This record gives sequence, C-alpha cells and structure tokens, in this order.
Amino acid sequence: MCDASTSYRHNVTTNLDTRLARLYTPALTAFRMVFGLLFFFRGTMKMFGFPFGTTIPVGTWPLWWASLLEVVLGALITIGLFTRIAAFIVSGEMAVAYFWMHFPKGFWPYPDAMGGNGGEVAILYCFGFLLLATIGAGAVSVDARRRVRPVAATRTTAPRRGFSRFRR
Amino acid sequence: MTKLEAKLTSFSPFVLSLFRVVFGLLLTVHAAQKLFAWPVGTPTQAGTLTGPAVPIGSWPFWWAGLIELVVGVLLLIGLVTRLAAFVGSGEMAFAYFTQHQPKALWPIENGGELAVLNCFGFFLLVFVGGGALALDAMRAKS
Repeated sequence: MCDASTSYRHNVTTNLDTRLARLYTPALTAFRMVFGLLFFFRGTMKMFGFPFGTTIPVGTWPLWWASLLEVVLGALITIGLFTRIAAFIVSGEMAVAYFWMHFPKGFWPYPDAMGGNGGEVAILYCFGFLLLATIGAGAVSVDARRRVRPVAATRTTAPRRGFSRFRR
Repeated sequence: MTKLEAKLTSFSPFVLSLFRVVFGLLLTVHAAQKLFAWPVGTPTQAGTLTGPAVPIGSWPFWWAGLIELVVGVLLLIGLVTRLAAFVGSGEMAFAYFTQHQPKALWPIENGGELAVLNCFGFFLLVFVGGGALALDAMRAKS
C-alpha cells in the first residue's frame, strides 16, 4: 500500500544525498582549513605569543615542543600538504595532551572557564584530525596539485619508499 | 593513490562514524548540563559546576540546550544525520556570533574555539553523512 510513497521518499532522500555529496569538496576544504588554522594559532600563541598569550621559552618540555608540532603540522594541514601523516601525528599529540594535561584535572571535559578539565577542544581536534588522516585532504589541496603533475609517464611501478608514499 | 592511502581511505566510513559519535556525545553532555544540571551543574560565580539547571523556556540558553539535546542524540545514533548536523552547525554559528564574537576578535581569546570547531565539524557531516555505523546506513540497506 505504501510502496509508492516509500519509494518516492527514498528517491527524494537519495537525490538530496547525491546533491549534497557533490558539494563534499568545499565542505571538506573548509573543515580542513578551519581545524588546521586554529591549530596553527594554538602553536603560534605558545611559540611567539601571537596573536596573544605568553611566549614559552625555546626548548621547554613539553609545551614548546607541542607548539612546534602545532605550528608546523597545523600549517601543513591548512595548505593540505602531507595531510594524512600530519593529521595522524597531531591526532596522537592531542590524545597525549588530553590524558596528560587535562584528564588529571577532572573527568568532565567542559571548558576551563566553566570549571571543567578544559580538554574538550583537545578531544575535538583529536577526532577531527583522525578523520582527516583517513579521508585525505580533498581536491583543493597541495597534495591534490602534486597528484596531477605528469609524473606517471616516467614513474615505474616500483613501490614508493620513505616520504614519497605520503605524497598523494 | 598509493597503497597506504587506499588502505587509510577504506577505514574512513568507520572513522567518520567515530567522529560523529564523539561530536554528538559531547554536544549531548552540554545539553544535559544546561537542561538537567547533569552530569554536572551549570557554572557558578565561584567557578564551580554546581549551579541549577537553566529555567525552562529562558532565552537563549534553554532553547540552545533543547537544540543541542535533539541534535546531539540524533548524531550519536546517526539518525537523519545530515539534517541534524545542519541544524547543529547553524546553532553553533549563531552561538559564536552572539555569545563569543562580541567578547574579543580571536576565537581562542573569546572562548568560541569550541563553537567554531563544532560548527565546521557538523558542516562536514551535512555533506558526508553519518558513515558506516549509523541508523541511516541500516535504514538505507533495509
């Protein structure tokens, strides 16, 4: 009895899903750039005191080293170069930061200003970057530009070694 | 595409669902705090989380809590993911510009970083859907 309406609804949903999926590249690019850029500024805050904050002395463990990862890898993710490996490393960094710096302060990850352990942002970065590591940078990225370079003609089928395996 | 990339990409439907569950769960917990003062109370002047729940119907926090509860639970189970994520993304954008932007220019300084990350995280979910482990995926199969 409800076959017709079910199939109609199914078609509408499927068409909407298809149309949304076509806009996936701009959404992924926006997501990658926002997460990468905010992460980059987390690093510059500690490393240079920019745009505000206190500069951490060079070499201080662990915060200066954390800021080094955040500046370098945040910039790489923002432009989409070596996105997967960069995102994987910072995802791990955020997991360490959460259990080392935030978790001891309390169980609930509400923001510092609200009396929580302040680790919610670290959780969001951790899982956001884990997603980027598996999903890749998308079509608008340096990785994608490198892919279209006509290297295929000269390249043999020999397996890639070292960093070149992260190139695409 | 390299072999490693192909392998990583094959995990992405599951990692996408993990991402959705984490973002949904954190949003649900924020909603429960506002609506029910559970698992912890609302912030007090003293900086502790022991305050009462937000009064029913008060603007904007009770309504924000209501949206967050519905959107958070839907994202958690992956039901009508795209629509729920769209509403959540819009709410976070609204929250950023009404609650955080007036306080300071930079997202980390004005306390709105969380809202920005949620906004763009949900925005991505509108276009990619809920991934492999979601009620949407089960419904599509049946």
